[in-house]
Amino acid sequence: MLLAAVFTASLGAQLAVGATPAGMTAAGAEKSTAAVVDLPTKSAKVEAEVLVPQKAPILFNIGPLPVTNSMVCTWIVAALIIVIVRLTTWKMKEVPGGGQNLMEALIEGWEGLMGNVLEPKVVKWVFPFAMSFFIFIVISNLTDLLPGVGSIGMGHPDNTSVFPFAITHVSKPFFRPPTTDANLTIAMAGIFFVMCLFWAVKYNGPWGVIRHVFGVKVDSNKWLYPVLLLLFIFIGIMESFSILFIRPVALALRLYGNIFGGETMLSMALAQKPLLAVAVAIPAYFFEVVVCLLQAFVFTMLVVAFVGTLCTHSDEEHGH
Amino acid sequence: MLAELTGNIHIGLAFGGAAIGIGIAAAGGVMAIGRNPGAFGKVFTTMLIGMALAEGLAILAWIVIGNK
Repeated sequence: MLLAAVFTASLGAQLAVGATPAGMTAAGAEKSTAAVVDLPTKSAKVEAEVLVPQKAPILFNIGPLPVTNSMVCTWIVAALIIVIVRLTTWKMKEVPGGGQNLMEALIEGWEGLMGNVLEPKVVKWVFPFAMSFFIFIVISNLTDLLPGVGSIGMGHPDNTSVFPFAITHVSKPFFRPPTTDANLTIAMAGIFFVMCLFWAVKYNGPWGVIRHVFGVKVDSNKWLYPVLLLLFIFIGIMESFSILFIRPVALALRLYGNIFGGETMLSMALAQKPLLAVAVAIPAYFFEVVVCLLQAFVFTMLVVAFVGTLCTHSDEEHGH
Repeated sequence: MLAELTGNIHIGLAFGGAAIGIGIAAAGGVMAIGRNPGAFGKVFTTMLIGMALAEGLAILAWIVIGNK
């Protein structure tokens, strides 16, 4: 970071000195140099402060499609999942051991968790969807902690270093954890949004969904009914705002914000002086392992809980 | 008293609120598990969802106001 600032500042000074007109006095030249140097230093500072840019840098293009480093990492994660699942369930045994045991424990654990929230019929619809989210998010979150992800890449060449391909600051890493790209989390939340509405209509029917959201959900006599109906219509407007807007947006931004924030925190810790970096980064790494696992769990559990609020009959039976 | 405050105070306030919410959720969860250890799974799951919702608002605030 510091090196990058120094490098750019010295470059700026050279350019400014070169551009000084010959007729200028010494004091004027010095002043103009100072003024010009000020700008590059500032921009270098800004560039160095943003350790992980929000926009994933583009590595190369395939035809009209730009390929970013987070996309490359997504493909690797997807390939990894296919290989792991195929290897562990290639030859299924009666008594599971090793990898098969792990996969079975994972799947049975989640089936039990979903059984607490959803009806058996809905579990059958939601389970493959939510489970794939969980496995994908866990593995892509944990790539955040691998050495080389986000730290190997292209940048400005560092002329002061003794190493052959040294750079001052990695501005274009080859790999970036998929979930630190908001495009991926927003896409996942979008898929969830469509599927959630589809399941709600499939379970309740189109009229049933409207009655479920806007209908009166408590026992009432016929005198109180119009008042309650008005009240529940207003509650339904708020609830539909939550279902249509707040839930998917919060779902996407929670995952993105957590993992992106963690990645930034780790990069900041590792950009300190050596001893301080070790002291800050080791606790941060343990914290990040927990956050990565927890956020995958939370994303999946919220998907299940949100579907559960729309696909249930328990509070409608009072109405009639 | 007039003083100028600079920095990301709004984000600090948002995360402070989220931290209080998460703390309350954790305290409630610990108390519930202490009274009824058998219900650990259900209490823990519900607690985590509550924590995630509290934290989600802070992250929303961070992304909306923090990255101008």
